[in-house]
Amino acid sequence: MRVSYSWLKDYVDSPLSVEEIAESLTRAGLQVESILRQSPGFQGVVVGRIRQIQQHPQSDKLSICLVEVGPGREFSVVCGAPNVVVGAKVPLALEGAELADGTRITSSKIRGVLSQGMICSEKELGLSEVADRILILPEQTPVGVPLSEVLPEHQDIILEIAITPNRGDCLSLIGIAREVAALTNGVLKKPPITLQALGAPISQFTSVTLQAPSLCPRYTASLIRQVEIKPSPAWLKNRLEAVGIRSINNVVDVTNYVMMELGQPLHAFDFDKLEDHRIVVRQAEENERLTTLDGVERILDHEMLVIADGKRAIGIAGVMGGLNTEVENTTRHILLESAFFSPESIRRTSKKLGLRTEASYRFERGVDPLGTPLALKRATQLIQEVAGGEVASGIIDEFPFPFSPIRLSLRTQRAQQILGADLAPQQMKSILVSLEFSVSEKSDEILDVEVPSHRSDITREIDLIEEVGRIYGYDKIPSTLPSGRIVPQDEKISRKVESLVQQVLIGEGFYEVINYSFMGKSALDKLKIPESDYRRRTVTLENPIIEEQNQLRTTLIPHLLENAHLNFKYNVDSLRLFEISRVFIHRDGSVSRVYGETGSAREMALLPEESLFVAGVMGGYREEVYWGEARKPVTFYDLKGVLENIFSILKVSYKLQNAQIPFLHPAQSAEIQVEGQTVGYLGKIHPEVAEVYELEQPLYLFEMNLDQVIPHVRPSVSFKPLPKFPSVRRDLAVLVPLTVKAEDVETQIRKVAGPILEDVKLFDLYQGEQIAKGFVSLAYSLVYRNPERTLTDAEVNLVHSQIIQSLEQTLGARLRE
Amino acid sequence: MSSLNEILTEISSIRAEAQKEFQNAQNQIELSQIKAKYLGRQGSVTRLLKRLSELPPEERPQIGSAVNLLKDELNELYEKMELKIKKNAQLRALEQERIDITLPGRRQPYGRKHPLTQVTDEIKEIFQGMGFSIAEGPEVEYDYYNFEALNMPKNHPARDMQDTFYISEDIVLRTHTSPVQVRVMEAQKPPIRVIVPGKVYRHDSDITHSPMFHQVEGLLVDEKVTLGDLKGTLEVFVHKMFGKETRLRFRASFFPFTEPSAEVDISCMICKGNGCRVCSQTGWLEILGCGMVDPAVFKAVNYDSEKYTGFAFGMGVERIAMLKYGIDDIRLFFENDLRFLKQF
Repeated sequence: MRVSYSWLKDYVDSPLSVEEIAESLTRAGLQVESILRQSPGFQGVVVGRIRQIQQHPQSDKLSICLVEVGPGREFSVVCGAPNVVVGAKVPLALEGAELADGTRITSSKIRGVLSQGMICSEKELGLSEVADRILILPEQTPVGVPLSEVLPEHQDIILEIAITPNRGDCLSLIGIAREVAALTNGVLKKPPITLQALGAPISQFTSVTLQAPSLCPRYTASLIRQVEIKPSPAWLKNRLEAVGIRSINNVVDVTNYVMMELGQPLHAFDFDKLEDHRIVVRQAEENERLTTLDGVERILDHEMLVIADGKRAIGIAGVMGGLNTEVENTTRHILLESAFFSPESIRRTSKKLGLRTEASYRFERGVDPLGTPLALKRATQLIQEVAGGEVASGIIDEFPFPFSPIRLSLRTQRAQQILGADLAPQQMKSILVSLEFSVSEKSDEILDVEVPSHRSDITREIDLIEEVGRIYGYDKIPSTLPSGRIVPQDEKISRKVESLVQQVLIGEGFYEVINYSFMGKSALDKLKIPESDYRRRTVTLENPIIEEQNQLRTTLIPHLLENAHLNFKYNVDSLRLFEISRVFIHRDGSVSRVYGETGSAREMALLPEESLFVAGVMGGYREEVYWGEARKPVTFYDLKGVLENIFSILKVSYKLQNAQIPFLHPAQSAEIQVEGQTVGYLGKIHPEVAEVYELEQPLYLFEMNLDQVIPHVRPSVSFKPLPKFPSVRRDLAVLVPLTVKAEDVETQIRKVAGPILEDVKLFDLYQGEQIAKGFVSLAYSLVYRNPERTLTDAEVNLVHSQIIQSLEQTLGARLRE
Repeated sequence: MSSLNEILTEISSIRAEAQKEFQNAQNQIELSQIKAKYLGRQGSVTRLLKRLSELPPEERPQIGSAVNLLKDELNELYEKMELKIKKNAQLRALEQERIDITLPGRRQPYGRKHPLTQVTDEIKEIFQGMGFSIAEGPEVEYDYYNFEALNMPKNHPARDMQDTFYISEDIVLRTHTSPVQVRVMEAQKPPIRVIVPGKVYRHDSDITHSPMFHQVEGLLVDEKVTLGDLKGTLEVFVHKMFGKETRLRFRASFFPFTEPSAEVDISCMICKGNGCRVCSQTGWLEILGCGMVDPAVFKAVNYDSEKYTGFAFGMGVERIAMLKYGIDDIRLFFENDLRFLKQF
């Protein structure tokens, strides 16, 4: 909210500077976001001295003044004011100046004589309504200085204050002033209300019927007859403009002025336009139509409250008035409304119509239910001041249910205990009193507090404790450390696994990326994911930012491919990226839940399944540039090696199984299985998918559901004693048909060798001219050991030859000579 | 027959000559030749020993010991020179293997955590050091946990503070990590000390707002927890995160799920609180929101708010990372450009 400091000073006296006040307000929860100094209407206006006056040759009423603003700087100005005298110090608007009413000054000929500026009246400067003579400045005023320096009291300071949603009472100058007074020991000065209501009783002219008192607990109205609609006086215009409200006419401006002053929105109707000259407050008909003041036709529903006359709606209550009863230049009589509407109802209506106004903003946050008639009287008084007319005596005040103020008990010890500060009960009392709470001491332990009607946010003891704390100042509360028990919690295995996987990948040269959780259907189409696939069971947003990003991710791959594309574009030639994040799979079904105080059970859809996934891509070269060796491109086995490291660190055994994955190369991809369950996949990107993502280099990728791996992770390790007896190493080179898988050879070796085979490693693979066509040569290094005793050559030889024999028989292998 | 003096003179001249020759030896071959010349079977020292018999018996012990001393001395000198020549030879051989140590090293590729993960880890460590453990909750959340149980019923104006992504009327993308407070309290009894790192979502996108961002929530519930405890805990955090010289400002504020509520500003690290562009001339930077758990929240989880009090706080990880690293555009975190990621 914009607050004019000069206006604010009408309501509070404080010895502090504006900066100190801003700091106090900020600390107390009214955050002053900026302090702006403004000199409206003084732009380009300087002090000049009239050196000479000549009669205008074409006009009796005009004179030509030579005005000096400095040594040798003189302007010739045509002026029509009667009070120009030689030697007078006057405000001179030079070419380019901008006056209070927005006029821009240019050099121009007036009746054939060049005028190089304008000598200003108070009205032109926005200081008062005086327009028939120029402003004469005091004799000692220095010539040539900007007017804003001469009249600093007319410089205003604008505070931009952020008001939190609970503080509807601070959406007015009086509300801010009340805070300033409480914070700085200042005195709050409320505007005087001196209404001269001499006309016939209002009941002779009009009536108000409250048909929906729960949506409108209070409705007051006054009537001002024979007003003159015209532009507002300068003071009124200036104040409204200072707080960012456009001036319309004197009557509308007064309603806005009082809204800013007291926080109560008001509405003025053209009384002549009211059918039957009466007001009905009722719920709207379904599909009832009303064109609001902004010229838009609104379609209403039965939940909305309207102000109607004898026949039709004339305003959406608390939101915006209707065009059909607008105050215009021809308006003679004004019916003025000041009401209290249900905050929930206003909020719902405003939201549904997409129409937020200064009025709805305030009603939503709750206005003062006891302030309704005061604001009405204040505005009526001001209308009479600026628009004339005769005020009908009395007001209409429909207020069917009496207001009972909230009474609370504040346990002073409780306040001390929550705040952690030794505030004296007397101090608490004086803080609350400064905020207009009525306080009586029941005892030293308990304060009886009555909440003022403007503080609808205060309903509980804790709210009072906050008031005491924030006015006392949080900075004065001593800092302590919690003294309670610390109950150690076991670190969840899932976080440990996540962190281990992260470490391995970083060690393997992968950079972590973080992408948005959103994706579009097209991402799955690009990956050629079939309709029946689980990844199509997406969670869809009702209100995405972009329609194309309206689903939550079911796979991390699409974003990683986009990341790869971006980085390849920037000439990265060795790429390794990974992401660990949740994916979301829609779940059908519902669950019955009991919520809240009502205890009523509600059927709720199940939340989606959230699983922790890890995915990575690698492409380009395997190693960084190195002068000692040529670089080699990444292959499937580099990626498989990364996974081997992950599973080895997690101590989980896994298997790869050939599988058809729609976006992977059909002959270079596999599913990752743990204990027979598929937990992910890896492989080379399918060339068609690579093309869609504009990836010119082959890319290898993997994705795993960590939540499916976690149950198999065994965090505890049991130590095996170091071997006491020596091992025996033997190599074995066999030719096997190409159809035989390396894994089958190793499995067979282990099976035949039994427990004395400690380790087997493939150390060479050859395929080519040296060996028979259709065969591949595999060379293994085998390590034998018996933990109980030293193995003899004969024992090892026996096992070794059994292995060879078995490989020949079961896999069609031949010993390579 | 040689006289005693003649032999003694000869011993000293042999000593002088041999010492010189040994010391001038350039290699093992020369050294071996010199050794043979003096100490060999036909060497001059050996020959001296043979001449002992020519001396009168009473003079033999004196000469004998003088010759033996010479022999020992020369043997020692030989060994010393032999070691020296060996060392020199080795040194020369090693010198042949000299390399250019300024050539670039060979690196195993090494990656990095995302800067947001690094900052989150740092926050986690600080609070874990104060006895907080880590809790988690769903990112797709019931409206009840995200709003209602946190004292924000439907149509509450405070909902305007958080633009929400809806899945359905009852299900939203969580707008903050605070719903996990409710889930934790539903699942366990006090004392509670948890922090909740995680992704949150708001319907908002520009240079300082991202539709997805990260928060770390904190919750401490026990008997007799005070606002002073909250201040002290956050001071420890800020001093560890931003340095001991950082000042804090606790400003009253409003959150529906805490009462009293506050926002915490820290003195601007760029201008040291004097006012600059980053802190909009205020000298302060807002870094987190906090407060005492509202009794309404305790009521929703069936805690006795007379017996227990607690505090909660929440901070934006992106905000802290932007301040820490001087990043001015939040979108950089989610573009995943390696030229960005490699800087942290």
